[in-house]
Amino acid sequence: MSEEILQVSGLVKRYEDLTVLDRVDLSVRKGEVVVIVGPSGCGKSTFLRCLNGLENIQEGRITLDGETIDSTGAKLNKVRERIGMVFQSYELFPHKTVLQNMTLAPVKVRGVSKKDAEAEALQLLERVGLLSKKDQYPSRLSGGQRQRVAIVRALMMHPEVLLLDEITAALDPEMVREVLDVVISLAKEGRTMVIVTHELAFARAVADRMILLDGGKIVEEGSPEEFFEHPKTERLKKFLESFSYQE
Amino acid sequence: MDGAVLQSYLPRYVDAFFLTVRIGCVGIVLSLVIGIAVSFVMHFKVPVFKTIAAGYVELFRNTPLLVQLFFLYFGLPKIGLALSAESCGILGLSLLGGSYMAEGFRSGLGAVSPAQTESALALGMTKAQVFTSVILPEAFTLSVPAIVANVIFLLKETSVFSAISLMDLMFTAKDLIGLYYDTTEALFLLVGAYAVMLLPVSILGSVVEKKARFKMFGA
Repeated sequence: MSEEILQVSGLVKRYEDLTVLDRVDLSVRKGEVVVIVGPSGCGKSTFLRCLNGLENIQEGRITLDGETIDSTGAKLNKVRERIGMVFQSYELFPHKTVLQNMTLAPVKVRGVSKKDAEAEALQLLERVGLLSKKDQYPSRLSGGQRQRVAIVRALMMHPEVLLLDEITAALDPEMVREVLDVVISLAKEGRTMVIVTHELAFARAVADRMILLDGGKIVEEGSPEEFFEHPKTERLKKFLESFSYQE
Repeated sequence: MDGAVLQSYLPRYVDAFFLTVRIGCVGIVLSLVIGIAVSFVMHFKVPVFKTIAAGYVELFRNTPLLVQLFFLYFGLPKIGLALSAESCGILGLSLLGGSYMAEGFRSGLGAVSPAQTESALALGMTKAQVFTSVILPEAFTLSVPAIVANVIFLLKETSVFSAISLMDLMFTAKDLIGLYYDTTEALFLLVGAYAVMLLPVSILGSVVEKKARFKMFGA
């Protein structure tokens, strides 16, 4: 297997007395898709936010290709260029058109020319079937369309790792598919991704490795097949049962 | 109502109209400048300055313009700072307007969700880039209704300038009534002049508001 790109060791995140993440270790290889599931409040979203330096951590170390991600570091924005993140609530910029949303960061941060950025943006929009929406404001798009724009906006920065934080949780069931299809196609082309989701069927289809997070700890991890067919821990069995409606 | 009287009054009203518009416009531009500066101080919670800013906003929002004008016009000369009536008018309007505009911009800045900042940071933007490219334009759009309301409010507030003997519209009307007792004609022209001044502002304001809202919220 190829080299490790993202390493987390002994990560501890506390909010005052509450320990949200309790000595979490994880290493992600290049091209790997890691899917994290778990009950609400288990710390999975917080974990992703730590990976991007959006949360300060109390103990442990996060490194991207050997470079430490430190939420208090001066060079944080440089590391963030290399880690894309897509949020549950899309967070497109409402005062900018779809195209402007996509070209803002590449032009400002990477110094790409506006022309080149637009050419790339149009290609990506075509790929996700939204070329005709390029001049629309986000408020004119459906949730699924907004989320697809948010994904390709993140891709515009050519991130080495993509973090997806419950990107379908706010969507109508019918729109979930169009977004997840985009993610599956990204997985096929070998993108490194860390995904937090409640969509177990999707998780199974896209994951190289599954992780169950509960109480701020990794309870079980393994290949999708082991994870779903032969869960080892009682906690995972119980978690999977809660998604099943069969007797 | 006597047409000949209206006609004879008109030139004085035209002069007063332009004086009022001039003071109003300069005052509004300055109040925007003050408002933006003060709202930044409050938004970034700049030590010491934020206390001064809060004191300023509370003082000027909670005292009538008339009282502020009296203070500037009759009070300042006592400490050796005599300003012309027009300067006092502009200064008073700017300070009053600045306090209202500051609140308007501050609430706009506060209304931009923190998640917008996070998503911009996640794209690798620096904090300064996030502020100028994302937060500021969004906050400004969100502040438009407050700004439009403030502009109209400030233009109407110019009617107290007569108290410091500025020959504005109100002064002209009172003066003519005192001289000739043609109350109906004088008041008719007064109402007409303010309507001519404010209607276009109001219409333009609602167009701008609609545009801003459509962009941000789609309806």
